[in-house]
Amino acid sequence: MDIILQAVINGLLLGGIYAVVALGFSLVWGVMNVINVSHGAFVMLGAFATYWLFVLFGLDPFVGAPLAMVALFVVGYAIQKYVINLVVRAPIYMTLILTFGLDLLIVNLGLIAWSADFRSVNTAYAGQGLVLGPLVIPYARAGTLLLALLASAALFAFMDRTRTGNAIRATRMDLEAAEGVGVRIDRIYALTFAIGAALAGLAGGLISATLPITPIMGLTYTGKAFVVTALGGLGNMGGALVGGIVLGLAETLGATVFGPGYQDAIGYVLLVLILVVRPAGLLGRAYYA
Amino acid sequence: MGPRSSFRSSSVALVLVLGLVLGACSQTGGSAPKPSGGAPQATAPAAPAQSGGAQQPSGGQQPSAGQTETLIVGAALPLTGDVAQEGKFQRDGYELWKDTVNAKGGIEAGGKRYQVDLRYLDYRSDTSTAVRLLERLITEDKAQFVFGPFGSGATVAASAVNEKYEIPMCSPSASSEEVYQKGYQYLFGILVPNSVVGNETLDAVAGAEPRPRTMAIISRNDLFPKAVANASKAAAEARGVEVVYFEEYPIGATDLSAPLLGAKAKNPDILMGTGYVNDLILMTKQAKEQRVNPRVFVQTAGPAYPAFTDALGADANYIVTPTWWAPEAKYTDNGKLFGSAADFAKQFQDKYGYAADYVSAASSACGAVLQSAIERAGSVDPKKVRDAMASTDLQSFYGNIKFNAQGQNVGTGVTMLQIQNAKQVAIAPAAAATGKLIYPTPEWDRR
Amino acid sequence: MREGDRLAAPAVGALTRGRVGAGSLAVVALAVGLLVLLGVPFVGSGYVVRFLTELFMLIVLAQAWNLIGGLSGYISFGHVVFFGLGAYATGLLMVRLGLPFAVALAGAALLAVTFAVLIGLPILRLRGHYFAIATFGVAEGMRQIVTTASGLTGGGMGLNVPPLRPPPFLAAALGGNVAASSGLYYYLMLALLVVTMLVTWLVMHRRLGFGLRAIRADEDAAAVLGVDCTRYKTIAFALSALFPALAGGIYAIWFSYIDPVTVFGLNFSVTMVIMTLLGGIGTLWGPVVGGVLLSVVGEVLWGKFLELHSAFLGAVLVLVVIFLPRGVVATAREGRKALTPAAIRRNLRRYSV
Repeated sequence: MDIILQAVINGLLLGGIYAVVALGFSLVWGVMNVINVSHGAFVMLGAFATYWLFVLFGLDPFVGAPLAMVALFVVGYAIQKYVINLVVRAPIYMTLILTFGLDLLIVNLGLIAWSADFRSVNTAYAGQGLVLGPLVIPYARAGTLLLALLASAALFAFMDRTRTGNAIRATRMDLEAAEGVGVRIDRIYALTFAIGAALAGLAGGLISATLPITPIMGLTYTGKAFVVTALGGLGNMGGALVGGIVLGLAETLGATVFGPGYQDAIGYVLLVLILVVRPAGLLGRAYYA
Repeated sequence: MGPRSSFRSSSVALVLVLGLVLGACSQTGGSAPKPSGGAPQATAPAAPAQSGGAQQPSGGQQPSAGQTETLIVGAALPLTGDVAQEGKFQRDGYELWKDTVNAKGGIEAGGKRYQVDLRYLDYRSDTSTAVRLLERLITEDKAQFVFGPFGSGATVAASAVNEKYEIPMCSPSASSEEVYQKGYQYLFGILVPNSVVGNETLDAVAGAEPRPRTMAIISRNDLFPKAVANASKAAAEARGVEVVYFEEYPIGATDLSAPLLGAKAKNPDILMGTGYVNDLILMTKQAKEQRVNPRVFVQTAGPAYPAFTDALGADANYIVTPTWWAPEAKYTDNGKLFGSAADFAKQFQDKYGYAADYVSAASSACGAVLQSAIERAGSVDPKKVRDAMASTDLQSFYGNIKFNAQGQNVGTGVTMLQIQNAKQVAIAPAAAATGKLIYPTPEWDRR
Repeated sequence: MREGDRLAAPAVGALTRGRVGAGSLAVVALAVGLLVLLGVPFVGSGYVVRFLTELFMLIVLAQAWNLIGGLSGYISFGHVVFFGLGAYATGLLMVRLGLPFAVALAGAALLAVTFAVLIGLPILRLRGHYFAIATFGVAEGMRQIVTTASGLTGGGMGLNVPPLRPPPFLAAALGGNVAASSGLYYYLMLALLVVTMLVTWLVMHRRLGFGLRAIRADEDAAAVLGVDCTRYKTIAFALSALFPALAGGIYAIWFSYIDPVTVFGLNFSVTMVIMTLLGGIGTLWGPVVGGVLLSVVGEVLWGKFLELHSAFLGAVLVLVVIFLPRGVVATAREGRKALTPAAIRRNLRRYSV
């Protein structure tokens, strides 16, 4: 029983990581109908930015991650405005290939700059956790979950309460209508992508606090982002959170019950099932079907 | 589509194919010196260019007025991509041997002296590319002997090529018996088999008091880590230790909490983890997070690398690991090539600025083995050298090297290390030990 | 008329009409090309033969992808799954059941096609992005399953597959066993390539191809007009699974060692798409042109720009998508018109907001 409980805790915490990774991905896909295959590369950039802030300036990753967020925001804005914008209304294979090319470019530049070595952010509290009897809640992962919740809440507030956020939601719901009422689509797209990149950067920073990082870490997280987004529904912030936690739980519980070998397979099986049975996701509505 | 455009398309295609075939064929036996690749290092451009040593242009032996000839040795290495670091270790090992032997006048055989010319091609950590590039080294660069790529998987695949051309290959990084079971005659491996590793690992820990009775194994689902896990399981059972948990985790896993929890539930005395350095760093971190407290934590293969202790610091303490070579070991070739293990370590450190690990050492040992075989064969004929290699019985800085019928080294066994005070300390065999096993491992909360 | 006369009729007719049609010129060009390729193992080194064998294999994969992706508009991002299935099925049938290669290959092909039909049932109902993601999920999921079922497949350790012994006539013709073993796989792969090209050409010029193009243009309209979309899509999907499976089977005996990471790897999936895109999606020669270009560029780049190679490839991809969206073949067909600044600017603005 203890094992199952601990697996549940581990699953929730892992889910927090997955949720943060997927938030930005889901937003970009939902609003712009662009699958950003290089999302994982932005996560990686955020992770490395946080790592270097830690190594060079001693900044704790929970402080460095928000800073990385800002840097990635700028980078994302530029990339959308000057590169992705050129194919944003093209057939999907074009955006897929373009973003894949971007991913190759970013990851390999990272490999050239930092080599494939794994690096770790070794904070004082790494490995420490809250001990409740036989159960352990590691601090770093708990912090990640907390920040995931905060980021979701902040994003939701932004989308709901601010004019720009409303404009983004309008664009997501109906592109032509939004254009018709005067929304500057090009700016909205750039902003959306920038937010997506910033969230990826945040995710990367948080990941660096708990796991070793390497320039080739991104693709795994892009894969998880796919699954979470499909689970939670496109462009649905709450869905990304729920989807992330569901995936985290499914993986750890599944691994505990079926064997760790199946841990990664579970995600993909879930993905295919969801797409076939309920493409709108658990919480979402079908867009761009 | 109309006839005109279909003609155009097919002629475009035809021209391209012809051009490709002609272009590819023109590279065959070309004697023009190829331009250097763009890589900045002087010692190892990975493109088909020459390494620092020999001065002759590419394209085979160039007997000059005296008796010095060139010996071309090829190696397909992963110099970019995910195992680039290991590829670099191998390359640096090969290079150190080449520089050392050339400085001593080259290899002497049949009245001639041979300066070694090492050629590398980068296979970008992709196995299919490794196979293709090895063939290129043999047919285009005219390599007379080859050194192995990194890892068991690439070695199994690539060894089919050199076997086809009957050119001996020496591998410094494949220890799994499965690699050597294809009946090949031209493959030799420096690392002792996993069964030896399993046995000596268990010998080091199974005798400690209070005696361990149970063992849990968490293995990466990959050729070498799984083979070593299986070998350790067999060794444990042979010593009366019960394996109560044996699970695999997928390649590239980012979360090992499930198998760690599963193992923890069985309360094992010995916890063994297999994988590569990054997996084991993750495993150690999560073992601490999840408060997994075995009496001894054994890992293969990662803790022997400085990168491991750098990443984990004091959290790496008490971990036991086998290593195929350690600088403290009392091996020596009595000044013939490198000297003792410690001498080798110093030469390596001086040249490259970082400490040699067993992969680099085994790579240099490949060179030593090849050299010894050529000298004993008295010729560079691949078949004769192959026979001489098969009968190797060499004392070197790497220990005693002797190949069994499958081509694996069954000479000197492994050294057991334990991390103490964030440093690797040799604890077995007695001849090499500089410390003793600390057992049982203190619990995480009590460190 | 005898058989030979009937075949010769078009060419003869053209000649007697005093004008050789461009169509028959194309056939002659192709025949010449094929003869050249047949002769390569006699003069080329082992490396050249291997390089071309790999190129043929990649073109087969790309052309198969083209059937479902280019022609039908269903972009698959996990097509490598059929290649991996073919490789493992062939390997396992040979190793575990001792079946000869030809039988194992046939079995593997049957398995792959059946799998395609079965998995196609649910996922061909998806459109656009969803279909792409689903195929990706299927490929990755299969890779994980094959890796985990290690008792059967060897798992992460890979599977050793016995290579084929080249027939003695080949060894005699090519001068030795070494050349013969390279040549054997070369000819096998070349044969597969020819068959794939022929079948694709046939599909494109028959009702199936027209139906698929209609589906790509507007599936709902096509359905309204009476096209049996489900049937056509399933046939296309099954065909597009057959050729990669055969290629996978040949790959297994050629390399004589397969592991899940390589034969189910994202690498192949992406290469297939890139080659077709580069050459011209939905065209017959697109995959060929794209394949040749990519291989040549790859060899050159890798030789000269070692570390930058993959980064360069990424940049090339980005540029190609932006400037040559319809691929080299289509752009070449337009000739000089496509390269004026005005045309480029128009291209760039076509898909932006």
